[in-house]
Amino acid sequence: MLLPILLSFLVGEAPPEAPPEAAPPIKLVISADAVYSADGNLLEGGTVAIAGGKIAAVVPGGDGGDDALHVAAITPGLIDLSPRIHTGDYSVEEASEVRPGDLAAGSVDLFDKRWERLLASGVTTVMVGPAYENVIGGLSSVVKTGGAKRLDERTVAEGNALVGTFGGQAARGNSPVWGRPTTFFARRPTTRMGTEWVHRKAFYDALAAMRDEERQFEGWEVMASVIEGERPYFVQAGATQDIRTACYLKEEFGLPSMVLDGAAEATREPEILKRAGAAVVLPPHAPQGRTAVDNGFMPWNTANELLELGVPVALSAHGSASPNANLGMQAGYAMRGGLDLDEALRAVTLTPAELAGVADRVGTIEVGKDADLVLWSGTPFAATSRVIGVVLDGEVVFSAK
Amino acid sequence: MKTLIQSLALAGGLAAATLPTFANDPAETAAPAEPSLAIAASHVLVEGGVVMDDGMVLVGEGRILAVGKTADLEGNLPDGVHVVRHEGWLSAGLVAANSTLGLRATDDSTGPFMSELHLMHAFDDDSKALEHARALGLTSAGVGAGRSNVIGGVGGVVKTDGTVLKKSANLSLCMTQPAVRTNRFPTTPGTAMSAVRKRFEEAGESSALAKAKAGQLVTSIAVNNLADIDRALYLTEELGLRTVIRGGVDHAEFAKELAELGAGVALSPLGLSTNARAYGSLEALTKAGVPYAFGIADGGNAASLRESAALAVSGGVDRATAWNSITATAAKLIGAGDRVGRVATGLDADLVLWTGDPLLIASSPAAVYVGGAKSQGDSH
Repeated sequence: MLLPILLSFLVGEAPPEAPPEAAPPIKLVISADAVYSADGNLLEGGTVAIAGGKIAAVVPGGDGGDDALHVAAITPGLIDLSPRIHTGDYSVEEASEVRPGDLAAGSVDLFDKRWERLLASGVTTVMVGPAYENVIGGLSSVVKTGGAKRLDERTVAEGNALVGTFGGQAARGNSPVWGRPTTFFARRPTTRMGTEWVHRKAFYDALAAMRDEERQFEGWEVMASVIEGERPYFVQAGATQDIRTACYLKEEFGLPSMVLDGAAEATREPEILKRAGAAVVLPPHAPQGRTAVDNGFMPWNTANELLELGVPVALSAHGSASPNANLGMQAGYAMRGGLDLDEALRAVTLTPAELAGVADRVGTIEVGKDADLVLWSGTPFAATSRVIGVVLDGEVVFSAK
Repeated sequence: MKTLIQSLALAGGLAAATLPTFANDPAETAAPAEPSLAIAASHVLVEGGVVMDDGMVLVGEGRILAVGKTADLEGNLPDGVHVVRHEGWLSAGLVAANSTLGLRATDDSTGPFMSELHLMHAFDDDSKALEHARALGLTSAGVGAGRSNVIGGVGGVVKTDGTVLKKSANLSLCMTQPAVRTNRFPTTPGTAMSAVRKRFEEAGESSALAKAKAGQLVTSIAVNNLADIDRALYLTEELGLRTVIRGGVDHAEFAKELAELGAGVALSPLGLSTNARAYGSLEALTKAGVPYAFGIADGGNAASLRESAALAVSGGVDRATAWNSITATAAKLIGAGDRVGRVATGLDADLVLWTGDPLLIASSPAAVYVGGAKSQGDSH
């Protein structure tokens, strides 16, 4: 009953002359009490039509009739830039602490059960980087959490960002200053100041390589692309001192685009952060404030304060799919810290899509974008709501029933 | 007279057993050979799915000259032919899709990328392992490197009489544990794969990598899990390799892709503890038409091969496919399908006389012939 109305709507919108190739048929129609598009639009009572894996129409009204799928709310598929779904040690090339040319997705395991759990929690797109063990760990990719089983078919963007680490984690477990590395896995740097030194040396080497062919090294082009702003430098920096160090590096080398991951203490020195112009991915909210990233302390109003500063903020659940810690709940916690629903939604959809450079494909419910949707039993991110369905590339890939 | 000399030489196994012969060109045999040996058996298992009752195989100059009904052939036998009559089964010798038979070493720690390392330099043609395998009915096997290096080296095809059938037949790759995450570069599957890919792309014209790319060598890629198979498929696609996936479980997930790429699978032996998933894998591979065979490089011995085929039948695989998985298909996967694996005219006379149906575990080899020569010292 709904379909003819919708189709007539589509025909009405289409240009009068026949399109060059036949539009794919409408495959799925879902209506909801509320469609949250994440681009500022809220349809109270709306319908989303899907064709060819893409969103074909978003129209107001439509109770769907008896045959159509009707839910309380629809949001875009959620996006987590720091899902930590890498293969742990097997994602870290230990040959050197600077590995700009390595593609982390090459070591990923799509058959890990964590992917299914992430998908069921409403996360449809993630960024896959290496574990934060190397100073410069390599290139990340943006990957869908379900669908095809081959990596290349699931990849939205390959090598979208260069991933690095500030702080204690890149130095942890390495050999002490007074000893010599006893195995291939124990190496420099051994402190966070050493980590910072390695970062700066790598960027100086890259600047030199850009000017002098003889000083080129493996992966220098990737470093150059970061210096020239072709891809962001995505670095973990949780503690105040590490955020400061990262911001100084950005300013020193004029890096156009930097994203601070796990930046729990990002609001401690707001003027530095704002001046440097870095974006932030926050770690999961911790009950007592102490996060897992270098024990950084994150007050619950951090996301709100950053938005007030004008800093782009994305949230992360660090891969958790549990009902009290998944990405939807992180949005809920951020709302408890002051965000309104639209801001919270944006922090788990459009903003991460923009930071990862894939906003042309995912992040909002707009005609022509990938049909990645989360279907909710009630208001999104409310503690009383749950994900009752997930649509990925136009296919219902998870259904709570 | 000529026949007599031949039968003497073959009976003693002189030519084949004492000298490692690196060249063994079938094209040299110009004149049609005279049979020197005729074996009649109650059942001849010609190849998977084909059993001939009261059959006879004529052998001369190490090759199979004719296969037919005993009644048709025995009347026309030339004088001096040694005739063996066996109350039981006759089949081709078993073939292992991979092994380390006769190798004194399988991995060299000089470096992780040993593409010009030749495993045949570690081959001991007088090894006891060959003798034991032969006694269990195994006559040919692919031999290759272990899993410690990312590129393990060039392996070949050997016979259990010590003959080297092919000096260069395969190239071993391992882009997962244990070749990665050891005390040197690379420590991740991803960096291992990109390093391998780079080496393939930069390979010199006459290098082993170039030969693998041209399909002259089979590329044997060791895997542990599905992500490893995905990477192996990717490399196969990108470089156009003639791939045989080595080991792993649950190939069912990628059966279609393996079939599309023309890749084969060399499975580890099945055991009594093999789970339902592995049987499901066999079913999917069979359905998709992916050639698979059992190998013994990662555990097991010649006896495990026959057990694997038997267990495969118990798990739902048809008898023909199961038998071929330890003979004809294995021969094809190691690049020796034109020489061994079936009882057919022109192929090497690698034959086993069994006390009963070889797919029954209770049966055992009564005699083993390699290149038409009966094994010496076998107790069966």
